[in-house]
Amino acid sequence: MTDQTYNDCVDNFADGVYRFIVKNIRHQEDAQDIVQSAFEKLWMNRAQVVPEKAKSYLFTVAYHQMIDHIRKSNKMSVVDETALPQQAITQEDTELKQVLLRAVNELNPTQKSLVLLKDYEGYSYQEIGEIMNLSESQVKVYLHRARLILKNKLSAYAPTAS
Amino acid sequence: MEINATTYETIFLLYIDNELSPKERLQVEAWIVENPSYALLMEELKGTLMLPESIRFPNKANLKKRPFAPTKENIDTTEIENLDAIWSATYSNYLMQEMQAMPGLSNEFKKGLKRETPSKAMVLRPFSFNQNKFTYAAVAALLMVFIGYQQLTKTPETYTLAAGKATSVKEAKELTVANTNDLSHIEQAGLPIKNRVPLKRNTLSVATKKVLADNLLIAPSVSTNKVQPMIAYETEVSTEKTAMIQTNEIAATNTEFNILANLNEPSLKATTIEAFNIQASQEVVAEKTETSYEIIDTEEEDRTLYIGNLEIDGNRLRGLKRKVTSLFKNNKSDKNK
Repeated sequence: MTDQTYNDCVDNFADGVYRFIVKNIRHQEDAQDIVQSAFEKLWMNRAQVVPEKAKSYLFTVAYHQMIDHIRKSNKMSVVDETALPQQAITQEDTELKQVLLRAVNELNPTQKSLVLLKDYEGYSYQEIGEIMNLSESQVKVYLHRARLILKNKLSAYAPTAS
Repeated sequence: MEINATTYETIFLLYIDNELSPKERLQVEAWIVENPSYALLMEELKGTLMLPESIRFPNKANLKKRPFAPTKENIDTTEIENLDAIWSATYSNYLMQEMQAMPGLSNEFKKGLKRETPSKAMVLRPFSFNQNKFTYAAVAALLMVFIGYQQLTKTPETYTLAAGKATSVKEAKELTVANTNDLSHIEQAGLPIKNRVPLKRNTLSVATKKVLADNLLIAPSVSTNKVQPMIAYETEVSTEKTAMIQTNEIAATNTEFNILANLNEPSLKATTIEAFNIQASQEVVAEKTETSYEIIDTEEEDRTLYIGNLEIDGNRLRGLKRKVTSLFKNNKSDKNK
């Protein structure tokens, strides 16, 4: 990987990695630190990383650093979603989105990461398995469970909203 | 893929996760059209999908790396060429003023700072030359060369001289040449030619001397320093014995009675005594058919070195070498202390 390729990776993947991390840990500074560490590691190992696998590499590194961060801090400092950048909220149905976000945040870290990687980044089961060090069937089962949990929570919200 | 009441949920989840092929997706959509009661479930599952948000990393420029390798375009060569001038014009004067203003520095040091140009302000470090060390090293090197040269130039003359068989180098050379010429007999006798070490004789009788003289060239060819019996050549001794008997008739017919009788007559006394001696020597020769010789390795006993006409006591040389070595060690230990 050349210097130019690395800079392209920064342009193309930094936002996605940051979004994935900040949605998980809900702490902007910590998320920035994790993203910076991930890119630093990519820079250090740029000779071994194939450009085509750079995105997957970045998400893998960031995910594992995030897990370490969660274990170390063991405190998911609850940040108000409104504190996030304003452009984050683009969904029209903001109320339903807030419910969904709240429901996602109530998932365990693995399920949350699965949902975020699937919905935000569009990774396949196999790619998610590589990033999170899970088998394809495990990804499938865990993600389906998460979906059903979210569906139930949304269903529970819908009657009260109505 | 078969969609029924037990598999629909899994297939719906795969559908919203986009894990089905286009054909399968159409199949699912057709099944929902056929079974509209499941459309609500599909909508609910679709509601769990999180729409992508445009969250941006705030300090993306900090993550980027600038090219490290300098190129011709981004190097200002004029700055490098005028580095001395830039230094003199800016930092040199500034530093000079700062140093002059420092109260703790000595005047001598401050004067040393007054250089005309920065290029002349080089600090010349004295070459750390230890004279004692050099002397010891030189002596040691000379000794090594001396000993090495001596070992390389060891000649047969040196051995001969050391063995005391010759009093001068010239004589030793002549003796060595003579021995070398006679070595052909030794080779014919099947004895190895390796070393030229003189022998110490065990027997000193007349006949033994004769045998020794005949074998003198053979004996030095033995290289070991052990006492080794050497067999004399009986045939040669016998021939000599016969010749001696022929020259003296009295000795040939000698008996105890005749000897005693002849001794009483003064005219025959001298001849009889001579004949008696010859007979006695013949008996000794007969007894000494085997003569043993002791070979002495003079190289170990005498360490004297000979280089040309120069004679050096090897033991003294060893002592000198030890002294030099101890001096080196003392110097090193003093430095360590």
